[in-house]
Amino acid sequence: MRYTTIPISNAISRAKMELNLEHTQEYDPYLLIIANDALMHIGSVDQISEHSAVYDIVDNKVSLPAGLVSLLAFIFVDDDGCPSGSGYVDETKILKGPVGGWLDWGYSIQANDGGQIVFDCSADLPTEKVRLFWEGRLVDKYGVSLMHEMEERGVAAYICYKFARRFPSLYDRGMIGDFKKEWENQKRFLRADAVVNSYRQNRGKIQDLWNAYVVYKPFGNS
Amino acid sequence: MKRSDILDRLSVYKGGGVATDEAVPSYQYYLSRLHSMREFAIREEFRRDGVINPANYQNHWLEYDEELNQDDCRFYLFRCPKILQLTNRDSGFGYVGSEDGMSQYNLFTSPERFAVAQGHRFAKLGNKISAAYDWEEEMMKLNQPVKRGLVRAVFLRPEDVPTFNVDIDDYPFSAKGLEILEEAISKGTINYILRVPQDKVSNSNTDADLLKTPNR
Repeated sequence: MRYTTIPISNAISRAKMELNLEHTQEYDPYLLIIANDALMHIGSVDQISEHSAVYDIVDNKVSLPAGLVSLLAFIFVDDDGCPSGSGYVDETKILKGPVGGWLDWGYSIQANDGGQIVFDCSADLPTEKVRLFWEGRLVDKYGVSLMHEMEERGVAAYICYKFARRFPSLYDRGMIGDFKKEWENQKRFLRADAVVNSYRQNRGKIQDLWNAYVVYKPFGNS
Repeated sequence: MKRSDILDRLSVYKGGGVATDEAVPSYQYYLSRLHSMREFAIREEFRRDGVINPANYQNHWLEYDEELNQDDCRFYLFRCPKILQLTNRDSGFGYVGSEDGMSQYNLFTSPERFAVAQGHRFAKLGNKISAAYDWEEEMMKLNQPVKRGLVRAVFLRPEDVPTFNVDIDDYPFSAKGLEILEEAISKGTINYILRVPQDKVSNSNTDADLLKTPNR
């Protein structure tokens, strides 16, 4: 995991400068959407990471964190953040269906379209706060993606390309072609970088698995 | 340049014909046309350059008014004078956001755009404030209450902005826009100034004479 991240607004600002749109913020919501698209295309492994945070339970419901992909575990905590139980949901993909394993404790949990976890409990919940552990996209507090500095140019090129194509009267065809070419080249470079980085991050695990397979050693002792 | 200076400069252009005492336009006459002429010039300037000249902007502070708002309303209303529409696509909004000018709101320049954007999750991001401008009511609708916000924009009638003092402040009209306006007037593209109604009735046929005509 590389921790040097910048907000996606960096790429948007850069694209606005290139597109001669500094005088207005009229198109910012649209630019934000396509910037996020670009980041998804790159497919960097750093876009997914583990997170943890304490959330309030209101009416037996907890709003899902921004950028959540799958819920790993949760635990009830008191006002000081100290654990109040030992329940967990292990490696259960919440987006793939209802989560099991909680009936023993008298709770069940489901994710609905409103982006909430609903505790369907017959008894009162132990506390009013819960700490969630989840695998999620790398986002800021607004749910907007964060990215690496190196990806700024590529994302900005994609914004320029898509925006210029939407308003072809403002930009000539040569410019649109240049934006497209820049995006394609950048994407190629970033995809390659993402693959290399993914290998680097998982090298330890790969080594463990390989050693275990070849010399039959227990995991972690390679 | 103050508003009176601009009017003085434009009054050179008579648009043809001989001015008489009766035909000299009043100050109000000039004034009412100044807004539309400025609108024309700014649009033309935007068409040529593709950007808004900063000299055309004005600052308007959104003030929370308890009389306008209820505690449980979904949107909070803030008075905002009418904005100039540059093209069918672009409005005269420059910056809408926090008072210090550093944090933008999610701006939607019409309720329709706001409604469309509501279909996407990015329109509802966390604590980010969304602002939609209602052109008919001349109101800015925010999804969260703020004490004070800033709108930096090209307003249709600069005098409508409460903080604008026409005697002291420079009129928000760029020198380039004024040149465009003068060019348009001198070429006859627009001829707002001093158009004397044409007298098509011969002097020999006065109204009194017409009345006397038996067959009429």
